[in-house]
Amino acid sequence: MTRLASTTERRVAVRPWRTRELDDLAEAEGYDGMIASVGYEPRSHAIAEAMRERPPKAIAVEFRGQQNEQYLESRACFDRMKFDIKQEWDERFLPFVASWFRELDPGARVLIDISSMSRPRIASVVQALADLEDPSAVDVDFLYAPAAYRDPGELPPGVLSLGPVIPYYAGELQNRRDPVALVGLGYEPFKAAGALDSLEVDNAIVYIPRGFDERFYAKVLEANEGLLERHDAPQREEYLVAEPFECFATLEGRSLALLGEGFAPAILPLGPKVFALCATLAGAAHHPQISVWRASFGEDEEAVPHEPDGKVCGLTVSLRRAERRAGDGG
Amino acid sequence: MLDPESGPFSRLNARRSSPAEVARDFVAPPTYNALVKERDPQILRGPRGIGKTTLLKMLLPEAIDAWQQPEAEQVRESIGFTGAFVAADRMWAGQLEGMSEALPGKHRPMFGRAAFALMSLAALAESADYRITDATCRRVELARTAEEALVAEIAPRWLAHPATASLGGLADQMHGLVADLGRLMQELAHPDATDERRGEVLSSKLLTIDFWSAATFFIHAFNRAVGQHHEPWILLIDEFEFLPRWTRVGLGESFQGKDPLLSFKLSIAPYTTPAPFAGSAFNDWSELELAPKRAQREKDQNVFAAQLMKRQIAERRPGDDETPDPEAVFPTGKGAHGEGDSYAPDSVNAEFIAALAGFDEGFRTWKDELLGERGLEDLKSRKKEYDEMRKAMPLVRLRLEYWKPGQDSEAAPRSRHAWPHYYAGAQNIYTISENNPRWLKALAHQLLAGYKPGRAVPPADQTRAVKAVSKVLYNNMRAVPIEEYVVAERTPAETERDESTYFELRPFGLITTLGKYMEKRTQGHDFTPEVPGTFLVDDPDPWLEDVVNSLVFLGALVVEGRDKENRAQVRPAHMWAPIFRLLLRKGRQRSLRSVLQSNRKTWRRKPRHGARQERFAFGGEE
Repeated sequence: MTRLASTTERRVAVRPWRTRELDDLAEAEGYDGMIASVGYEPRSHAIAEAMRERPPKAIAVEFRGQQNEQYLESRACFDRMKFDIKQEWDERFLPFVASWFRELDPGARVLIDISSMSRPRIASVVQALADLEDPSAVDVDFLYAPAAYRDPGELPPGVLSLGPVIPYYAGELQNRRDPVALVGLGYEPFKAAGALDSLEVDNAIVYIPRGFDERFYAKVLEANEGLLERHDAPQREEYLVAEPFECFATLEGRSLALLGEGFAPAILPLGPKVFALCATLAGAAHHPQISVWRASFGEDEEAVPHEPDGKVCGLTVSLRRAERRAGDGG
Repeated sequence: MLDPESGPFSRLNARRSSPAEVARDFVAPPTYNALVKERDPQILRGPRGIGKTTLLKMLLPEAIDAWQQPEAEQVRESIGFTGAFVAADRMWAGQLEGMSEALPGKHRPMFGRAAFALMSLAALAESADYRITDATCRRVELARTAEEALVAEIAPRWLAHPATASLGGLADQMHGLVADLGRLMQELAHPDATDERRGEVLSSKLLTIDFWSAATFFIHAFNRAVGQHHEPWILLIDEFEFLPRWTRVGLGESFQGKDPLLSFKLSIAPYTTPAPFAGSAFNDWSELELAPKRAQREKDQNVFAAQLMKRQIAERRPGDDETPDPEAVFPTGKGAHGEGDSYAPDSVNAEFIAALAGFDEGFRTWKDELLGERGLEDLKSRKKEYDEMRKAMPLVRLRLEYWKPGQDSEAAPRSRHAWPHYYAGAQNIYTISENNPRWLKALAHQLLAGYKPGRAVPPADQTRAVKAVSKVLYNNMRAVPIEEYVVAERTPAETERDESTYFELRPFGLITTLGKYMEKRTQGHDFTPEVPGTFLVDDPDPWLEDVVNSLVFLGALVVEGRDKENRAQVRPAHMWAPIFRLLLRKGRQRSLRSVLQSNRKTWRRKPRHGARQERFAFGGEE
């Protein structure tokens, strides 16, 4: 069980969510709400489409940029499924999602589809959850539909920008503890090496994803060859995209160990979005001691129309009001 | 457990090392004396990795105490100030910038000023604490009760808890207040923050702390307490350009005050002149260039590089008293120095010339035009021809290393596995490292990977190792951020940034374009002994300026000098020479604007993952 930082007494549990086929979601029912994103990739609506039953409060939030033809198709798809389509993008997203959580009925069960969410958006959802002042009871399933394999594209022509994923994850303002970067690798060539080189951290641990398709793994190694094989290569860990809970537990555990050893963990979640979810959950659980960073080419990143590969994996976060036990005092 | 001493980046980065750790490996470059002697404000300029952080940290009493070199004693006796180190690295700056994202612009400078003030006060207290506890250098005596009285006097002005009883405790509290400041910023930025709470945050006492008065009050009080009324204190501010712009502005304002006992030394990387300092206390400083002009660098800095390399070799020969000179470990390749000035028929020079002329049509044409029918006969007495040929010899040798006779006396590329010897030799390794300790250590690590005491590293193995390091560093440039380095507010130019002619130019694209441009003239069909290698930044385009600054920061471009109009003359670092098959020379100057405008296709092309370095076919065009 992991506590998300808050002023309210409550219990937060992060639990595994059994990985399954997308088609199995047809049986999924009982959700009171759902947040998805209108994206330029078909997988943005794959989870919604797979569900037979649309949750009563189902919304799909748009993006301001990259509204190409595929994007418009996704929006039309959500429209057909009677989702409430919102334009609460960029800085409007966090207040919107915070308000959405607050309006849920006690005991609500909701689904957050992170498949096409940007990292700041995932971070905002987790922050909104962590900030809930009166979580009577809420269960949140964060679901992720991995993309079918396709070769990595060319490097974006844009400029890499580096910074905390959103202000909440900037970490504790200090310069006494040495930062250690925990980097989730992706198959974007040179991105991790460039980001690490720019941040100039003393130590780094890289997390290599093993996806449903083994070709991802080979491409990740290839894209990060310069980083992984240089003389001062960082420590390596691997995680299974199909097992987000294990990934979260490993990441949180490692971060806690580093904190105990006097370091400042700084997580840089490149690669699968599910790693960004684990990073932001760990960051919220130990806020503000764990920072979460973002390295992005912004809208210059290619709008790749990723298809879902047919699987769905995720995590469940449950919030309950804490019951005081005898002897707790107060 | 992770150990910062054995981490992947630790050996290359002084920022996170303690003063004692920095001192352990410190080899004093010539600049160090100038820093030790000078009490007036100084700006230390140089690319990343050149040793700015190390130099600043080596001005701390703790580092000077820990330094074990013979010259350390003299420094301990002669240094006439107490240094206090303030780190402002990219990560810290990123945190501050990230937290401020949601703040209204008008509130940012006050947070920036406060953050800098608290960090600086912590640094002052730490140095003072060291001086009364463990120091030899700048040691002073302060009784426990006197320390308590001093801290009691300072605490209210520093917003510290009244019960604070030691200088160490004071420093801890300042660090704690920095963290509190971060929390306040997050509260202010929180979407649910009420107007009432925002008002409370903005009226926090933390935001009212005035660095100048708090610092000078401390200095005078401490000096008085230890009986050293005229002891100067110097803030050592590292990586000043990484402070968010609104913090830099606030800092400039902080230094508006004047006190003979408080000064600063700060380090910056950008090549642009910090003109925005003018008008503030920053307008009264001297500048130290850590990458000095070539002649001086070759004369002085190679001594520094040689010492550093020798230490790297010594580390791989534990317990061995006699560490060989780097020249013995890294011998030059064949024909590295030719055979002196001899161009006699049986000389090495004559042999090289004949060999290249045998298949290199461009060289043959050039040579025949230069020497005429007399050829090399009595060349020394023909001054003009002799001088030209001397200039051409390194290029003759380099072309021979990459090309061989092919069919029909045409040039054919040598095997990729025939590693050229041109880049081998200790002096060449220093040149390739640009005397940058970070790069030199990376090179040493690779070069000495299979080193066996008593044996030299063969020239071909040296080149292979050097190229491996070059490639990693080159590829890392594919994804580097471009900072807006200019120190103060930019005016109209900033708004034009997005409309720049060069907006599609990236750091990797600029280095690649210049590298290919030089490669074409070094290895292409035509033979010109003086290959271009330096570029005048002659376009005041704000985007181009930021890209150039990013590369200067990384050390990927080296500032060679300035023209009469104060425009920078830059050249690609010699680190890229093995990649583009270039000479280790400064080279003739060209206009950067004209090179970029005539090679738009190169820098506008998307970089491809895994694409091999394109090679110019002999005589072919790009």
